[in-house]
Amino acid sequence: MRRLLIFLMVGLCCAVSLKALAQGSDSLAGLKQFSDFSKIDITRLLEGEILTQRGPLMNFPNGISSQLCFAVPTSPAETAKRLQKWDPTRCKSLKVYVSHGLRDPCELKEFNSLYLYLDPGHRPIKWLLDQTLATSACNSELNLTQIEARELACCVGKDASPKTVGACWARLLFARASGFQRNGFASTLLYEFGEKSVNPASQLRSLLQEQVRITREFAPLLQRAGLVSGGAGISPLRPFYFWSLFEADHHATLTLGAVYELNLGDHYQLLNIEYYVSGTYYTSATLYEIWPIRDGGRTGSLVWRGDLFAAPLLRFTKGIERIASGAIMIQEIKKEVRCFQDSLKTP
Amino acid sequence: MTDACANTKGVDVKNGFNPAFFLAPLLVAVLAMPVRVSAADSMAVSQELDVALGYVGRATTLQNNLHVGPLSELNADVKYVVSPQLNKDLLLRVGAEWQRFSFWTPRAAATPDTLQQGNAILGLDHQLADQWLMRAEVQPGMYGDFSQLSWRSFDAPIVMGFVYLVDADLQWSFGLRVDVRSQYPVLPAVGVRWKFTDVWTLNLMLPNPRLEYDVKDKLQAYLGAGIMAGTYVVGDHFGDDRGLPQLNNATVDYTEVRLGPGLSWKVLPNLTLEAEMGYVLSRTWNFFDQHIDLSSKPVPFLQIACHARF
Repeated sequence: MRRLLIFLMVGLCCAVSLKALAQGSDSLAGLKQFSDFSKIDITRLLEGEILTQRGPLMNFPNGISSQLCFAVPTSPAETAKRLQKWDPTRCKSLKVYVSHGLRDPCELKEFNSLYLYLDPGHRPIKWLLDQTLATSACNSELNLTQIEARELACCVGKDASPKTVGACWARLLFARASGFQRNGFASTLLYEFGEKSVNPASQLRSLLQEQVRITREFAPLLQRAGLVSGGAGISPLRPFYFWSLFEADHHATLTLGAVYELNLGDHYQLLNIEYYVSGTYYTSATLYEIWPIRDGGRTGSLVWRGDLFAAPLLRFTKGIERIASGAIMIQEIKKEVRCFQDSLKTP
Repeated sequence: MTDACANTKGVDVKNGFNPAFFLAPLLVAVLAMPVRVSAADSMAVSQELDVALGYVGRATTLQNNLHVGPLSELNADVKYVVSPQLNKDLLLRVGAEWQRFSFWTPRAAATPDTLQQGNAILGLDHQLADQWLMRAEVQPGMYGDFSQLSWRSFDAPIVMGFVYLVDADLQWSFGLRVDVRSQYPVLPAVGVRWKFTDVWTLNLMLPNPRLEYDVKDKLQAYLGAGIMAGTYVVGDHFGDDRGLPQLNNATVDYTEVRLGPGLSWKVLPNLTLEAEMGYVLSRTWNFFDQHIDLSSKPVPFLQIACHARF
């Protein structure tokens, strides 16, 4: 009897450790299948290491990509929830002035606080105010349709006060956000003042087209978000919508975004896209896959993050400058990941 | 070309400015055009074309601390590099550079009429690690006064640089120039680029360290320094013509240090025009083997440059 008990205990321990091993190895196998990371040490990740890979050169001239892998001490469900709702304004180095969730359907008043952040004494904000004032029906440095540019010019007139400019931008953002909430990516309006008209949704699709393994891995999420075809007959995902104002390349930038979450049993996938960006760049998409991990007595989540980014200037950034851009982009994303990891230390 | 001629102010000069001075940059630019068109949409091949033209006013020149008369200068530099991507982290650099200093030289001075380099550029750009980039380049070519070309004029300086990328606003650089023929065969350098406010950047990268101010998105003003330096071999009869036979076939280190304000205008996203003026603080011709040293007093300069990336 005693022998049987010992045998059962040993068996149970083996089963537990095998399960733990299987849980870890399943995550790693899944991650290695589609990512650029071939060697991953869970222990080091749980100690704070962040793995990075600059994406390969794309044929899509406006595009750049990167991949990161890190661990957090929270469960996948909690991590997925926190990734959607964490407040980046708490981390000063990210230079996010405001990030604001939106209801569905959203209301104009949800953008009313925008003017509070338009301090003309701050150079990046002044850039946005100056570009707004300089916008006319037929000329703008901002990402607008011609109709939006005309309306913005009429709305602002010669009044450069933050209250007026904020109210005019609020109307524009509200119109874009409402359209996206009603019709998704089909409603995204063009940016008509560049060399060529640009559709942010098309830019996102072009970015994804070159990431074959990633697109395959995230196919259900991308289809249910409506970003790629093949989602007919499947219930669309209901995203978390937001608007934000932050600094990109020393320019204040307004964005409208949506975060889609897909629960796949023990792990999660997230897609964070910017369907409108006011200037400096066109759009971005961030994909996350989150698995449970266990290392010894420690549990947590293994997070893979892929960033895709489209900007007009990248077309002219080649050679070593492009490699440097990719390397710098990774450093900036690492800052964000560290801020997110720090945010998990507080309840 | 060693016959003296007199300019309208009566100063003896041994050499005028060669038409090739202006034609060579044009030629390189034209030669680069077909490549530009064919590679315009290719992201895997990048090209750089840099053209600069400068004039330095007449300055009193000293030879071993003795006055030898006034001297003015015209200089030009044309550089073209094509850089195909070999793999994700490795780029090849292949190109050519031509640089010429033409000096309106006093008859008695031991300053060369011209110093020129025509060299190939062979190198690599490599991402060593997450935050480290490296450039290694060898510049084999002819470095001399081009009065007669021989293998003695051949040189192959090596330039190596490492950049540490902290973030979008801060980068450090560590460099090394190796030229075995120079008086100082190994020259190390450290630089930094730090955008310390939204409009001010301390760009202390050699050979053109600058303090930059962003006037507008496409217009930048700066206060900058410039260092132009090279090691050259003069001709077989260079010394004979100047009554200093020990300078036949001699090696000379030429160094020019400038300081002044300038403007940089991004005409197109991949085309920048620059204009700067100021003072050449120091020019030295150092025949270090023969202990003959020439220098000129500070004098104004004007320079225009064009940088294209495609």
